[in-house]
Amino acid sequence: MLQFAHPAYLWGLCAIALPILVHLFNQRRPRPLGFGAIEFVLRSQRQKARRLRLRQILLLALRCLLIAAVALALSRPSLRPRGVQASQARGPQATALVIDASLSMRYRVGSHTLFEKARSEALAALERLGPDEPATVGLCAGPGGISSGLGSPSFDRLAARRMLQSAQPTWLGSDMTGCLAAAARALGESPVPGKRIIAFSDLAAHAIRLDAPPPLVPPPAGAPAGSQAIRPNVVLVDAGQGGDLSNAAVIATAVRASASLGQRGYEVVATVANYGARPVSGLQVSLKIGQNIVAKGFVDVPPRGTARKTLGAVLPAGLVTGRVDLAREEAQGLDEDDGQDFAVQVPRDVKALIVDGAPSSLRSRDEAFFVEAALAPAHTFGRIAAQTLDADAAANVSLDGYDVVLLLNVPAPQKAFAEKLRQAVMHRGMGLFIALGDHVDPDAYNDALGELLPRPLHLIKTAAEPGAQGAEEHAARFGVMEWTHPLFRVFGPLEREGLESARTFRYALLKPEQGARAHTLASYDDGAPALIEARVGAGQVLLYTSSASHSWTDWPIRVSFLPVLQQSVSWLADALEQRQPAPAVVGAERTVAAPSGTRVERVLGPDGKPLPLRRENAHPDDGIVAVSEPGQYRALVAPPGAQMREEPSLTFVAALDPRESDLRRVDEGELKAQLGGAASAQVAASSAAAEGAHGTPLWSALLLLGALALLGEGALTRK
Amino acid sequence: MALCIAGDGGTTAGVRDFLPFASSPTHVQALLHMLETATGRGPTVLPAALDFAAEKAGRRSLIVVLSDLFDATEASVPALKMLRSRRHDVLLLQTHDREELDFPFDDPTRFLSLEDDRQIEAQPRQIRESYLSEMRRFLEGTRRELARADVEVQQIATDAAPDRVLLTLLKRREAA
Repeated sequence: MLQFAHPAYLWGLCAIALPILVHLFNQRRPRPLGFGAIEFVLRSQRQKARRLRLRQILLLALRCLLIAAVALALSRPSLRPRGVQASQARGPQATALVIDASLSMRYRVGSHTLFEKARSEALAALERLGPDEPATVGLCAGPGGISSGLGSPSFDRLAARRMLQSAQPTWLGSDMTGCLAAAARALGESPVPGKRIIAFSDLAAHAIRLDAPPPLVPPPAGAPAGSQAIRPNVVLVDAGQGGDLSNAAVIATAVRASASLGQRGYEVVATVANYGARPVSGLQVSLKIGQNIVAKGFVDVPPRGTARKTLGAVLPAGLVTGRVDLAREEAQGLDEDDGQDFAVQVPRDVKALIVDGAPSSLRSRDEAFFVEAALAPAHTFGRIAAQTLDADAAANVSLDGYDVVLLLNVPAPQKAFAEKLRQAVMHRGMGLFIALGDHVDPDAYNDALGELLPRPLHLIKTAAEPGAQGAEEHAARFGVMEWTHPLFRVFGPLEREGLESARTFRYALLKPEQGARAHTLASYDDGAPALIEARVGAGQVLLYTSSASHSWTDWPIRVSFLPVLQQSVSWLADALEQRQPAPAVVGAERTVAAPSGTRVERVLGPDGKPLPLRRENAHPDDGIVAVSEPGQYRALVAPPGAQMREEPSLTFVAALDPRESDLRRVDEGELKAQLGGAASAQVAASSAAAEGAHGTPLWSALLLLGALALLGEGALTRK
Repeated sequence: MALCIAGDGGTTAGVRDFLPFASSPTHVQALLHMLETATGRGPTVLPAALDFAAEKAGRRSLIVVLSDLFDATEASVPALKMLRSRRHDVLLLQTHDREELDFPFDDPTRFLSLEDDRQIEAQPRQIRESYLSEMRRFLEGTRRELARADVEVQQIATDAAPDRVLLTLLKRREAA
């Protein structure tokens, strides 16, 4: 359908009357002249009569065509593609070109990405703009909407072209609705009455908010009061050209210890999503640790569904980074979400010495029975190697090599052994776990262990005699617990009840604290400490004021005893299995919390370069970074006045926003409705329609026609 | 010396006026007077006039013919040949208006015949080339035809200076 940008120039068609008038003027009554050689005039006229008539008609036609072509070209006609709404504004239009630079635009079809396609379309659209149409360019990415550009529309085509040529897709999501609104606001700064937005996007449903108000161009700054915002013409160019943009992605990765895989065996569970309409079968999943692929598997994923694939590996102690990858589809797909990084802190192995103060030939009556069971390889995945000795034997062994010593109902140690313990704890950082029992004499303990005790023992309190009638009722229960402490962090809200239901019949009361070094982690319902810790020199000491056997309490026979004891040993050995930090999401901020006594000095991005740090007054030692790309981020910390060191526990990975992997398009009808209806919005499925309101320009062809008419006219008049 | 003015007829067919042979000075005066007062009008029958002149000349004479030969050329040329065959010395002064030679018109013009009622409207610019070609062909053809009959032809534009025309003519005859 034909449309005109400057219809006023169509009045120029009236000039066609000029050659017609000239033609008629030439046909006017000629002057008479007596002429002797009339015979030759008659002959010449006879010869040329037909040709002359034809030539005159041809001249008239060419002159009319010349004028019509020029007039039509000036009115800038264009052939509007089918489907373009009829109410496009006429005349020049201030134009905002918006390119979706989100992650999903990295989707590859063959060897080209949607972004490359969109960029070339935008460049072509820029070239097609009329000389009287100001333009602005913006990239749409990130939660803030426009990531760059989109200033006031101008005629600086060079700057706009450069910006488009240098534009690159990001790893972020996009809010096309917000970007269109921003583009409309930018158009309000142009005095040109026509307003148009041409957006180049994959039209993914996740980037468009259908419940948002349509974009509106605010009235100009100097507009009279009561001026209303106007609705711009919006052309959305589908960079995917309506093709099927099916995609499979790794949307989550979880790492967990696996006892079945042996010591330091871990399972990596990858969640694979299929956003296509067809099932994906036999999709290869590989697990890479460092540079080596250590496991491979295959997964079937239903259409529009997810599936989990578990791959196992034995990991070395320390910080381990790895990646789960899907086999890349050659024809098309979003390659960037075919893999996901992960980082896991694999705790070091712990060697523990259990000093059994009340051995028994009857295993269930042995003081170390429950502790040994809790620390058995089957329960600790082999991470904790425990050796049990009686008190006499333990007094004669070297403590070198042990990370933790557990004193279970041990009579007050001899001075030599106590000194060995003190040396190991204070200077070597060994952990010491003390559980009480009938063999414990508080005063002797205080004398023997002295400063190793978080607080001196006072006396043994019997809340109820075990086995006596009503003992359950009168027994002490755990009261206040510090659930956030590593010892109890494994307990979720539902599991806590199991811990709180333990009954303690007898426990030691402690003397008042003389310093502030001890810290109560759990106490009984009467307020007496149950678990109390203190840092002693380089090591940690944890005192449990009841027994590790069921002689004073029923806790050891309860399920909750095992994880607490395992956590206690790991914690004392400074080899606690950390809960893996949740991966950061690209596009969001991440707070890197400084360990106590340190300050986050730098956070290095996946490329190893430091990122800008932001701090908040409430936690000045923490660093907040903007996560802009996927990969591994490392943190450097430093105590005040000391040198920076890398803190592996702060290492985290950033994963892509899984919403970007879903390229299902928004419903075209709903989209048009959100943008103000078909009268002001259109979705172009092809590059030809990217021009939007312009359609296919005809003015150049008309000018060529006019030039040809001029040449023909000149040739005819010369004859 | 005699003078015969051709026309569409008068006392004799094809002769509008005639001044008989004589050699007195008054005869010359009368001849000049007739030339000055003669006007071009109406159709001309040149062959009849030439027959009349040949008849009146009687013996071998110099017959000077002033004509554009536009009228019935096909008959006029044989008449001129006939004069030559009667041993007359024939000199044709073929006179043309400058406009007839150059056809310098631009505006649309209705051309009226001077000898009859023919007329035609034409765009001179459009037919100029064709007209000039026709004119050239006519002049060349006449010259060639009469040259074969040993009739001397001198083509003269009416705006040419008479003395220069006469001088040229005399030189040519002297050289012959």
